Amino acid sequence: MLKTMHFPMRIRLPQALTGLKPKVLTGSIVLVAAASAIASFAAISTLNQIAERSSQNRLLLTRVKEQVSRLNALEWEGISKGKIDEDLTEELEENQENTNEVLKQLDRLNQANGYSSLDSLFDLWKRYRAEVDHILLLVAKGNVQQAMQADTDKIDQIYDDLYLEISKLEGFYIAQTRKNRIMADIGIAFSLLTAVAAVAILFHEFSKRLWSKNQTLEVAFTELQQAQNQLIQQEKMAALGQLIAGVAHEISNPLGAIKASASNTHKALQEALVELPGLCQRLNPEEREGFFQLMAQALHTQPMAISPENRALKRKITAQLQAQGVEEARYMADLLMDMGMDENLESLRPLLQGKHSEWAIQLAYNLTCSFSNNQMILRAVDRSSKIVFALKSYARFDQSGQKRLMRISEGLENVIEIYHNQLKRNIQLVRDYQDVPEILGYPDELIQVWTNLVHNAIQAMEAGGTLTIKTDSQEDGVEVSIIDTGIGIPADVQQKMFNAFFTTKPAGEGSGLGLYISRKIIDKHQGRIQVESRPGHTQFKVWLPVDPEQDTKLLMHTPWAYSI
Amino acid sequence: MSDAAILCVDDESVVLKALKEQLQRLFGRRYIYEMAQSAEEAWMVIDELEEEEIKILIIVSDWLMPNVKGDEFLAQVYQRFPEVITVMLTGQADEAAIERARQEANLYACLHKPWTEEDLKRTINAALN
Repeated sequence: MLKTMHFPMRIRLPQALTGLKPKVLTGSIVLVAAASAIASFAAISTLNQIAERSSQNRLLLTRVKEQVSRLNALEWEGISKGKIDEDLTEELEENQENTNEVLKQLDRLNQANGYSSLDSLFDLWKRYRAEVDHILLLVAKGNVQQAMQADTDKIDQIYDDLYLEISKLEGFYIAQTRKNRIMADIGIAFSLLTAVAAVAILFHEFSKRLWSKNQTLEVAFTELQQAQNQLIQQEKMAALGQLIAGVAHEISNPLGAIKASASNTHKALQEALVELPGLCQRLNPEEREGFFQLMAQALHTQPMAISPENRALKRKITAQLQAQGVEEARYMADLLMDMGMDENLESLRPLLQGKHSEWAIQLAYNLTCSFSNNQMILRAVDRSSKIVFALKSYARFDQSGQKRLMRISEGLENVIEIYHNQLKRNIQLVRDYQDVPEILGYPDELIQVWTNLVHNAIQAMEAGGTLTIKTDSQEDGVEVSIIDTGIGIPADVQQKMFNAFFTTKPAGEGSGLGLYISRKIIDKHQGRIQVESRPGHTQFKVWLPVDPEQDTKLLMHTPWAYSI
Repeated sequence: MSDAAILCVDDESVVLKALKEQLQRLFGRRYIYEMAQSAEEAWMVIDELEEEEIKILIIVSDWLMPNVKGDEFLAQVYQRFPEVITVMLTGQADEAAIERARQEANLYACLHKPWTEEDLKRTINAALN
């Protein structure tokens, strides 16, 4: 049955192909983001470098301004004094050196930058130096008069120009620094925005992919659930199929008996009715008396059991008949025994020794066998009804979905009835039913549990054994034990046997869902199932609460239950 | 008086009762009809008949019986009495068991329950003629 099963699962090839597209997209986003990050970084770093240099230029210019003004002050001090003493000379030299050093640095930076904006500064500085050096030289030579006559206004003018130029340049570099800093900030902001955009796009892309994966998984999950339901249904059908095979045999026996008995009765009456008129002609009154006595005996007789004792009795009657000179003694003994006669045949002696004894006994048998045949038919019908009733209970599908008050033993008996033919082969059945309360549950589902446990027990006892079915009251519930004397369940199998699809049977024979479904059903009843097993003794214990809702009801209606 | 027997084996007494009456009606005094409810009981009957020097012609056996099943029983019979004709009467068509009986018990025929008197008559007549 399981071989024909189709899983509604498809391999999702198109999914694998479409999966390529988002990957390319993500890759290009990452590349673009990385490229723009590198470019931004380079630009920002260049801008920062420029700003840094502008800032250095500015600092140097400030120092130049200080140096120049100090130098200027010293020089004017010397010029105004008309002499340059040692201290002043030293100071002048030191200051000039410093100023030159700063100017050199400035020049280096300037050259590195490739700017030409410092040209006029150097030009003015040279001119200033030339004028001042000339005067200082005069002072140094002691030619103070001449020095005093020098065009100080011109020098002042040059100095002012120089100072102005420095201030101007200073302003330029401050502005440039600020501009570059702003540019760098804008760059950073742009990079951040690019990064955020990239992250947002990637996040969106990943979410989309995750969502579609989720969708796929959800579909797969639904399909799996459907497959599982289908399997559960098939397991039910497989169990039913096994039962039907057993039941077919179970019913064919009584049917065969009914058919044969009815046809026997029919033939017996046909034969008898033809012979009936001969009754008065062939038998004398004494023989007739024996005949009716035999008939009366036959009508009150149960069919004789087949046993060694009865076979011995038959031999005895045969011997008696032979002693009385009856022909076909064994055949006659058989007929007499079927009519319920024992070895006390004295009253029948005239009939048995009469001329028409065989004819008379055959007629009596034909006239009365319909009674025993009817009894057989009734017995066979009872047997069939029992099987049909069990099947009806087994196959009933309770659509109400409501729990019903039920007697546990009824369900157990149904299952025993259905497995009757399998049990009778070589298994002894022991029923140990204690007086247990009725429970509230789903009878048809529990029958499935009993079927599964009984079926497994029978399979474990291939070579025969004893199946014990017990019911007992246990802590506000009923405990059902199904015990077999079979091969036992290994410990590693015990751990896994309640899992779905776990089976020890060859492929195609067991679905591996029997115990899984049983456990689900017991869970639904808020009961529990336990197993203990060793070779020669396996016991499944199922405990079911009398009323699963009782606890909840109790708590709902008696709030004091907790407060005490 | 007849000294040839037909033995029927089935665990259901109603089936045996019906079979016996049918056989009596069909063949009358020609044969002796013996019934047994299991393979073990059948062996007892076979021994008893042997003692009485009555020859068993045919054994009709059910397949599904407690302990020893029909095919196994007929195979044992065939080993001891190869000349006995074996017939299986079964409610459950177990093809493997029927095949086993064919090979190991030289199964002559297999009747299916519910059988008809006509089937039974034809099978036994064919087997004995």
